[in-house]
Amino acid sequence: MKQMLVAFTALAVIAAPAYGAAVVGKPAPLFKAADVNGKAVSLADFRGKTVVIEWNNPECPFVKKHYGSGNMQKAQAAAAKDGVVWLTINSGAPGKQGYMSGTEAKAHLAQSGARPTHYLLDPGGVVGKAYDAKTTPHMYIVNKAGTLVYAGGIDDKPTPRPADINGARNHVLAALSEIKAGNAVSVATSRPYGCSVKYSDS
Amino acid sequence: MKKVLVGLAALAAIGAVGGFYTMNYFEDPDIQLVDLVVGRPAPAFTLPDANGKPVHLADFKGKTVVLEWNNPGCPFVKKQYDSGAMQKAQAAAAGQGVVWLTVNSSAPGKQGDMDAEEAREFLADKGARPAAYLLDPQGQVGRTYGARTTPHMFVINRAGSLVYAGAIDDTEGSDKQGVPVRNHVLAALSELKAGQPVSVATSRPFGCSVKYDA
Repeated sequence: MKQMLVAFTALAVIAAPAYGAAVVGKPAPLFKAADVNGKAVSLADFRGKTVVIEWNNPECPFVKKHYGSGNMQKAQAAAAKDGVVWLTINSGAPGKQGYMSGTEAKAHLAQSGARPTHYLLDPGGVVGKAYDAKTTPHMYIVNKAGTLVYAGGIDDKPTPRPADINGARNHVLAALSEIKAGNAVSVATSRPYGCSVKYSDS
Repeated sequence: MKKVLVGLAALAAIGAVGGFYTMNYFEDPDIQLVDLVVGRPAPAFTLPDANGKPVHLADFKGKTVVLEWNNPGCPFVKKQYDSGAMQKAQAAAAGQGVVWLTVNSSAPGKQGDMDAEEAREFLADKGARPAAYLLDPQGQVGRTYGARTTPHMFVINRAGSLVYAGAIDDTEGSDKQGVPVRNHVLAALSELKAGQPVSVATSRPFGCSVKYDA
């Protein structure tokens, strides 16, 4: 048994790329991050609910595509209606594009009409690296049991053009509707697209 | 235990290569199948076509290849052929110079098993236009590719790497009223044609189980 555990540990270490990235089909890494009011929000608080996690940088043209058109807000509202928790996370480092203080983030939410359950600040990039968030947007879904069931792009049209939203398959909304129907998520991973997450250099 | 370790090793492989996705298969304890990793070379094979002529995957190096697992008796396959969706996809692929190989891995006496003549009749009857219809009654190629369902679709790029494995489209368990159907194979082909990476490299295959020999 001990030998087996050693083997497992060794494999677990190999399996962890740079930061112990989230793996679809495995428990979603737990995290805590401050919301725009400085209050700590923990993923564990939402056990029993489906959770969408969205990586955000308001200045990224690919993010603007989805907020300027109202596409992201619409998805957030649809999710909220179904009791789905939506966590938007900003992993931009201080001084980098998209970084915001809590006050700035509050103003941004009001101005854009975004309606996530919480907007979380991750200036150290700890949560972003735990999830291996590569782009903004980069989308994840955690099911009610706490398992990561989707990781990837918001949709299948990897351009910054708002005109491409129409006719695109929104992988997140498709997954949520499959989950709601009690089905397995048919597209569990896709290639994320957008701007690189502006992590700190150090 | 061995199976668990294999699974973990597969996960380790994903972690190591990043960006490569394994297929998210459901369990089928009766059949030993190898889970291929998308992003890796597609295994070579040779199978007889509906005219008895051997077809080698290796002959198509330099071309994009689609593999379609087929069982004409399966309702999920019938839906694709009776609506004309599969023939349309085959025609679109052919128009782009893509080689489409339909493979039948039904064992003798099982649903969908056909000899060469029956296969030719099926093609004529449905107006199906794969580049070749391949007979795999022993299920060797099906097992090598981990083909679980009919249909189960694979796309191999010009370099011979597997770049898609999964369902034909995203209509599993839904009527999709008013929502456009995404044909994952056609979407992958159009991304490949544009020189882009395949954005949905795996999806959950759905359909009838492949009728392998027990």
